[in-house]
Amino acid sequence: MNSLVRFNAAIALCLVLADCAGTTMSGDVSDPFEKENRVFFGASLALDRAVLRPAAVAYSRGLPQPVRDSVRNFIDNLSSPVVFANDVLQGDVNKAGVTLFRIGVNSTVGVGGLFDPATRFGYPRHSNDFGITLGDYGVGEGPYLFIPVIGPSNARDATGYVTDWAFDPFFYIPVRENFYWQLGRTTLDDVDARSRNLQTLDEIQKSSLDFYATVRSLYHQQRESQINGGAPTMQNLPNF
Amino acid sequence: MKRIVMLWRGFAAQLLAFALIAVVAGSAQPALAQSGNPAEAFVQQNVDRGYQILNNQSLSSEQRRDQFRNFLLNLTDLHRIGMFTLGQYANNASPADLQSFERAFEDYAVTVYETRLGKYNGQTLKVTGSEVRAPDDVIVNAVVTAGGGASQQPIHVAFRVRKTPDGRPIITDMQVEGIWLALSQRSDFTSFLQQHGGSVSQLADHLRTQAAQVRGEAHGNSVG
Repeated sequence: MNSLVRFNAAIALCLVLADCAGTTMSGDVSDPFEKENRVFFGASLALDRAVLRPAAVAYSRGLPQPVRDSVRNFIDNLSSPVVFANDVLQGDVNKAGVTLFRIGVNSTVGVGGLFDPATRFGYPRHSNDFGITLGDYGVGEGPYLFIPVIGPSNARDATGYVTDWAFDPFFYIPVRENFYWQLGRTTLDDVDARSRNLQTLDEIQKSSLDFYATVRSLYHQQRESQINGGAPTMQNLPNF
Repeated sequence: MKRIVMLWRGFAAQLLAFALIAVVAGSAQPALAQSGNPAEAFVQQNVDRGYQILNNQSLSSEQRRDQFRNFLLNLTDLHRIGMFTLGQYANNASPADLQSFERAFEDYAVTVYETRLGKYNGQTLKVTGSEVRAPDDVIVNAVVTAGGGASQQPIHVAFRVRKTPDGRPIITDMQVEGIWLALSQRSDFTSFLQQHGGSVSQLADHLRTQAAQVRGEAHGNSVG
């Protein structure tokens, strides 16, 4: 645990420095790599149109809602250990208890995570990750990054993304099998998530003047709110 | 990959922001609304009214649009929101350009909201409380429960209620799952302005075109 704390402190320091290094401000988000980010963003959109979106359309037409819900439950249950680790790191005993309860109930009564009886018992899911943990410790977000395949991020959250692998028990499956496991899991996760937002994403893109800037703002605000525990961000509201 | 999943969820939240006024408020809780800040009752009652207009089948689509436009203009401070979305670019724009932008923004906002709101049914909004930032600046919290799949969770929303110079409450922003609409719009608009030499008149033109497009598509859908 001590080494983990030291590791966190080191990351914190490096991110604070990264934060200082970011000079181009776009709205409230530091985006010094905007030119590169826009290239990756455009490529990701093209990939979405060519592969992910058609796959998501076929998936949602081909499978009935209860099956798709089970896919979502199963994927969410798999990521619960990561949520639990971060609940603990944030010292949130209540959240950690809920997550532990959910893992126990949904993995057994919920048939290996295919169903979500825990929510019916009054313990709904919450998400958590190491990016939020770092934010909770007071680490700034650093420069905005649009990472190919992974999507919108920033220096803090990208660090968190990689760190979360260490909390995932499935990461310790031997390398060869791990590749196919992770590929299958990630693909299913993305296709299901995309299928749930087909119309939403189309409409936001249609009403945006600059879709890249809109995504950047949505991501920034959403992460701030998650770090804030879901409460409306009161303090930093602009006065208008 | 989790980033993408979360972002897509953020998008869903963002779109639902547009849907709020169309929410079914069948399970409104009068006791709660009465006991809290007056801003809470203000939000709950107006959500009800907006829904009634959009679901009034006895109106022609033109009548519905007119009523909804008047309703939205009364309920929200589109002038204040519009000026905010221009950011620093408002300072250097000519009065004529600002006026033209204001009209375009108003038309764009009403068109986009009306088109989107009409698509959402079967949701309930319950005001859950409020936080006072200043006497004329209250955040009203609410929960939207959407119909649909088993995994649907309640969505947390908030309205920022401020006051007009004559003391009337007015909405200046809406938040869904952490995303403020006016803030997002400012980011979108200022980025456009940055790439177009800060020309507010070009932005106004663009908004007019976009509003016309949205209207055209909505008309096409309703005919088909």
